[in-house]
Amino acid sequence: MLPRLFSLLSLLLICITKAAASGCQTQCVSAGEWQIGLATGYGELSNPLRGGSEQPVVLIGDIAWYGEQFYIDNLEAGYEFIQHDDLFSQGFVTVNREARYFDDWRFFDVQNSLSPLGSGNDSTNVKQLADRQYAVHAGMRSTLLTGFGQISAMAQTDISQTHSGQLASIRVQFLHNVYQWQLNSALSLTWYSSEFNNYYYGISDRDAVSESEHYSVGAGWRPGIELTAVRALNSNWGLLLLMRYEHLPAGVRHSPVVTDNSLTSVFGGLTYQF
Amino acid sequence: MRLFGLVLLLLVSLGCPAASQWSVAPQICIADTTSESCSMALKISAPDDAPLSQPACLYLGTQQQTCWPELPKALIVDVTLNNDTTLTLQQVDGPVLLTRALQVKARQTTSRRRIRSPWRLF
Repeated sequence: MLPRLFSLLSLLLICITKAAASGCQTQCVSAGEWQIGLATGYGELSNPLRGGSEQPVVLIGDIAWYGEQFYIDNLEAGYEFIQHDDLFSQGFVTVNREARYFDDWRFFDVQNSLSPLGSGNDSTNVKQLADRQYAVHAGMRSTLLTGFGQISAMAQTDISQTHSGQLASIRVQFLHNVYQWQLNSALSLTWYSSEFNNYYYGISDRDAVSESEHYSVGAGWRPGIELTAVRALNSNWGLLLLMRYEHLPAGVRHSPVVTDNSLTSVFGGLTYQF
Repeated sequence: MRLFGLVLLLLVSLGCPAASQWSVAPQICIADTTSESCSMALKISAPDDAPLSQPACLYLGTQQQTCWPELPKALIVDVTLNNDTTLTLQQVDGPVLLTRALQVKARQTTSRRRIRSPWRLF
């Protein structure tokens, strides 16, 4: 159901990609001020793991502070060292949240049902796996603003020695207004190193499974698409629709602990900006 | 008639600055944007009974600005502020004569491009 929905969305995205994205016309923040938002509604975060369950989401937080060059944006903090008219580059530190699929708790911002993972499946189950930890990454990102959208290239490496891997991505983002809605859509292609994939989706001696179930994962690419639609009702209240889809690489999909071929998330609700 | 005299006295005493206090004006600096520093000329007036004959220095926060061997009765100082700060006038090796909070306000906030898409926590 969700992959079909995302196919339709991709088509829609391609059809409406005519509006230009530029500097600070649609995605702006006031420098030196905290931006704090809360969204309440309903959504679901898929879980590709065997024994993992989809997570309902009823509350999302959004917090950001931007100075002239330094910024904090949700789980990322960075410094923008190139600020030309159409070229921007940042160095940053961020929390990678791949471990959330292996956990039954979330960060403060996303409230969900705390139903335990694991459903007594007789195959390799997420409950049998050793803990997968959240990682802290450091990275660099460059963004080029063009007449049709923003193109970003980014590379990150684990600095927390959690998985000791890297990831790199290229992302094309479009910002456009359709009636009273502000649409932010993006296509991305992200490469994950074998260390990253192995740490999270490989199975080895650290896990409580038989040796015959051990599995090693190589590096792989994840294509993704996302759409955020926002409509302001007044200066504080607004509507929010969020959709994300990421296709897992074959190496990850074939892991004995993975049953789904993608990561999907959908949310719709009401927002309040403080 | 006596009541009118009392009211008049009260009004006069409310309307006039107290002669026994230091006055600082302005205490709010208005910048064009939040990212710009703000400059203004501060006028500081001493009360009649102020000990002006001693050397004194003016500080913004902990940063020393200017010193005088003898304080004039009224002085004008150019200051540049980046943030809210505290103005202090202190005698050299002596007591603090004056402390005032100075605020920086902006006519308009500076907008800048948000690097990450909002609601990334989801």
